[in-house]
Amino acid sequence: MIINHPLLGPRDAAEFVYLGDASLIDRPDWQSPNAASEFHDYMHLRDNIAGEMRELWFHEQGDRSWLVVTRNTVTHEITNVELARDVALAKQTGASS
Amino acid sequence: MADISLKLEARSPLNGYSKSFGNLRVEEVTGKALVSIAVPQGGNAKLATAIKKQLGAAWPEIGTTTTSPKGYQLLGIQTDMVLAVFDHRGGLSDDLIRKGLGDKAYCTDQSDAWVMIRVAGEGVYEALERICPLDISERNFAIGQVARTQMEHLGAIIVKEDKNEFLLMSASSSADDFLHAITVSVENIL
Repeated sequence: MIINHPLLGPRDAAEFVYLGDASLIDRPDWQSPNAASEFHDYMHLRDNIAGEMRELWFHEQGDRSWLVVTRNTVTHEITNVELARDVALAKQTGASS
Repeated sequence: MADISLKLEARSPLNGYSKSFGNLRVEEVTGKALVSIAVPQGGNAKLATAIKKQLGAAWPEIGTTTTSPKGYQLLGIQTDMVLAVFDHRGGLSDDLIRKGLGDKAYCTDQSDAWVMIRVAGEGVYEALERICPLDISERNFAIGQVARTQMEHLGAIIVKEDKNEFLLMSASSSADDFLHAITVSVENIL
């Protein structure tokens, strides 16, 4: 499997470590009144998708960047690769505006 | 105290290995200092200016290297961090860099953590392509480019120094295994 890194170009999946569902970026606010229940959901509830899924991959044997990879879990086809940093920053900007 | 005079000599990870295989030469590069320079949050522009002034080299884009007349080579291996390579002058190498950059950078001496091996000569592509997952052919990987990857499951940094010449860096703790991977691959194409 080849992951097309946004900065480095095509790289072998063996260089990466897989973490899981990209929803892990959305860490709840610990000061929220429902923090306990939100963290429960954040920790334990995941969709197990047969199809297109957004996942976090870490480029450990490379530039040490976190990526959000959109991958079809049935066919392994990768349709989009973004830097997780960009994804998280875009979310912050969206939330504050 | 008893009068014991000891003369201690530093040894490089491969003890200065150097060997020819037909047209190919595999040799350890010694006497280099390596310091990683990382950017404090939001300090990219300030640090780039300071590096230009102090070391005389431009901040390298990721995947590229820059050099300076003062003898520094900067390897752009990842976002917000570069690796500076220069002649070791004794003492702690990060102090040297930090002196000029102050609080604009986080510097770490990595000189002892890496082994450097130069592989040069005709056939170098055939020798390395068998253990390197990246396309380092001439059309894809130009002189002055750098990449971090793994070779034979060992983390490695690859710098293309010249036509038919590569500098490979890997962890000094597994230097012998890294050298073994290279020499076996070189012998396989002879």
